[in-house]
Amino acid sequence: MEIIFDNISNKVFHNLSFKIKEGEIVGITGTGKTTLLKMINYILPIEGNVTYKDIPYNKKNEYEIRKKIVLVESSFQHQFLVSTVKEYMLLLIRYYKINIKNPEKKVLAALKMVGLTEHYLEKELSTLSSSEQKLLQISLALLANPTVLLLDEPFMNLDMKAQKKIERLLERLKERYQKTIIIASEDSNLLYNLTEKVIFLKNGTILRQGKTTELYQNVKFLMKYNYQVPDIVLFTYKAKELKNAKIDYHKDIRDLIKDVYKHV
Amino acid sequence: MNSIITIKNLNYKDILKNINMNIKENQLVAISGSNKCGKTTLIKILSGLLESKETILLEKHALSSLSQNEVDKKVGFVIPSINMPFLFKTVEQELKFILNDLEVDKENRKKRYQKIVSIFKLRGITKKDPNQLYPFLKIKVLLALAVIKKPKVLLLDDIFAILRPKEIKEIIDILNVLKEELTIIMTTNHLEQTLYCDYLYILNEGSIVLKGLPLEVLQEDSLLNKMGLSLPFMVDLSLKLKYYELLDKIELDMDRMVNTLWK
Repeated sequence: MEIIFDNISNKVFHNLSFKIKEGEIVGITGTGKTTLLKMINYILPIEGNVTYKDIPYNKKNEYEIRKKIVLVESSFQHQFLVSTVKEYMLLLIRYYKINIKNPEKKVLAALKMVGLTEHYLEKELSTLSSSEQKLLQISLALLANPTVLLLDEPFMNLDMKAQKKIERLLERLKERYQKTIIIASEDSNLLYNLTEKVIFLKNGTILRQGKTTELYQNVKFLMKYNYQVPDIVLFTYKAKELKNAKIDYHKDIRDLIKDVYKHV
Repeated sequence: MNSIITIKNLNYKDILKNINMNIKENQLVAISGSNKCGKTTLIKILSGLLESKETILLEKHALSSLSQNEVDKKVGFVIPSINMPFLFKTVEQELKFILNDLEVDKENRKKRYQKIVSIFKLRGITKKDPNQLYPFLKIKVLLALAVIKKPKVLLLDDIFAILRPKEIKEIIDILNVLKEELTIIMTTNHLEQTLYCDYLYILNEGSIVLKGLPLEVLQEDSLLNKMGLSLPFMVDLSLKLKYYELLDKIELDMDRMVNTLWK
């Protein structure tokens, strides 16, 4: 197990228990998701039984945990007075005291991991588009070689092309580099498509957790607790409920169309 | 219908190329396009934040001939990416400060305040600190501040980015009420949000590539996909079902679509 929360309570949450396996893509949705990400990242203090790979969350391990579990915030905020991508990355390595023999090489490798090329090194931060900013944010997060990436609303402000690019990147980070990926989002279409497991938060605790397909295909549950139903699921649900249609739930709209074609 | 804004051959650096627009009064107009298509720059030019010598007419006056003060009176805008802190400790103070600029008597000022608070459903939060509000309420306060002084035009740049679908629907409903007294131009990179607008422009690399009624523009699925825009789910589904001759027109209502398919 990568991360274990065992019955954690604080000002915001009560009785939080969950386990996250290595190399999983997990979604978190509902009120308090950003706070929970910050707890997993250990920026917010936690007391109780929380471990990362059997290492307990405490003052002594704080720094190590934060290097291994990195948070990519919803928007790119840079407070340093530097202008280019390279300057920013080098400064960050010093700021976080990441022990690297050859920082320039590391910077280039981190950029390449997210699919940005060498010529981005000399680009001004202010000239980056929102999708380039998001890729840079992820590459910055990878500098310390973490095993867990936490992403807060990663697709805010991105168009479809950029969103697809980041989705593929996250899948690649999981497949090729065995990264664990935790995404906090309100976008049910995104979570339904991208994640394997999902945690639903409500009133300061976990209402349900489990397999993404099972939970997101449980339309009555989603409606009862006011969660957004993925579009494709809602359509299938209505066809089944209203018309007794013999179609199945799908993730890809083309599969759905084929199924509809067979059954109308 | 009268035109309120006319843009002729607008070029701006390498960002906007040969833009022509004719915006009619009391409409809700959407400008969409992928990241970096130039839509934010266009909004900034129309709001007077970026200078452009080209011919933009605002109620038949050249925008460049108007003083900043005159532009401020006629044009309200909300650009969340320029993150400005609020000046006062409560939403009420914030609104009343702007209201002072409105050249009407005390009685009418009070009426205007009440009307705006009611349109935006702000009653419960007038005594709260606007800097502490969560995004949905903050956007509503920003919108209220932009329209309370009765501008002719309201410009909105990507105000939905951080909101949830239900919140977006509520704001679009409010915009459709507001357009009775002004003209609204909004940008977004999600076509879903353009469905309930009166007119839609699609920008790509700084040029207008499509324009028309949203449902007509959205039929150009392959072109839109190529530009990195995804169709609203119901439009996408309708077009695909049409292709298989299971449906003969775009259907936005899911229940009606299900009823048409399984008679």
